[in-house]
Amino acid sequence: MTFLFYYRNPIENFSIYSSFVFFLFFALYVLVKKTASGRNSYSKVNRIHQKIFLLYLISFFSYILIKKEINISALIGLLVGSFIYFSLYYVYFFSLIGLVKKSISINILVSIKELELQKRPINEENLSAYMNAQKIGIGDIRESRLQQMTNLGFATLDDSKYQISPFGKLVHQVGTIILKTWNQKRL
Amino acid sequence: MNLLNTVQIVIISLTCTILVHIVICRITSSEKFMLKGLLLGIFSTITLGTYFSKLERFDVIGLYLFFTAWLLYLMAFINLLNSATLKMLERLYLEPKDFLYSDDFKFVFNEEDGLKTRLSAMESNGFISQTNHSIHLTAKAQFLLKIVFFLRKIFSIDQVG
Repeated sequence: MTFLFYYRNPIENFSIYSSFVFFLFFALYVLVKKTASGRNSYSKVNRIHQKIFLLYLISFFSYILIKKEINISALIGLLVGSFIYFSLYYVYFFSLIGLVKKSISINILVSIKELELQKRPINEENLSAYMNAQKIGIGDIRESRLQQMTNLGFATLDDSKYQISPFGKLVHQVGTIILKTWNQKRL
Repeated sequence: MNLLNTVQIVIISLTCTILVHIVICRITSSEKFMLKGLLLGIFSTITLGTYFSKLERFDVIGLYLFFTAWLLYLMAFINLLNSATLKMLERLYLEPKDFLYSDDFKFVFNEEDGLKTRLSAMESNGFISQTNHSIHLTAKAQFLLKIVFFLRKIFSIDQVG
């Protein structure tokens, strides 16, 4: 039994292991260039991730052209390699950035810690005022999520009036069916 | 074994685990959703790993695909349960006139809902303690914050929100 898995087909091996290499290159680029800093850094990081994915695709197609093996195995390799490249980003990397940057609960804990370091009394009123001053208060979060709702196409904004879109209705209905099937209630 | 076999095994395992998860969710309450989901995912990954170990080669990629797809599923579900955006969308959907003004959302997501609910959840999860209207961080929260500050340093995150 070998621990490092090698598939029978060199194209499958290339598609899988190069996706890790290209992701590593992306991660190093973001860390060295400090792309995740700043308030609206998500789109910048996303763009770099997409550009490096394009490089992955170019290298993959160059490899299959050199090997002259365009078949179902190459297609499966491409799908799995792409899944690995995107999952490393969205499941691990992006989630970590989101957690330390956008999570409401984490920002509350950080604010409590900062108030503690400033030796100020910590109660709900002080905490709320402090978070509002840092522009991470509940009002700021509400505004940011309302903007997200329109950005995602769930609603349209017209003269400070939010109207639900057909896509927004569909998303809500699908979500409700899933929650009912799993017997869960939205918190 | 080729990649197609691996993908087939992962899809079958994932489907079975999701079906088990639906049954668990239906017979237990909504509480500790994350813990139950993670435990089931770890158990299924170990089971799949045991199966792979009986084959000629231990399929690390197969295990990665399975566990990551499971985390993706859990993340999507937690987002469906917790997302402030989806909560606002629900309020908009239930509105008979089909639209709401920006200020109307203050009733959906306000200080009462946003801050108090989260403080109460943090207290029940052992991250803070509240005594005489004063909030204190527990050792568990201090440890979590050390990790958060370390990650913010690595990613050079200077602005949040």
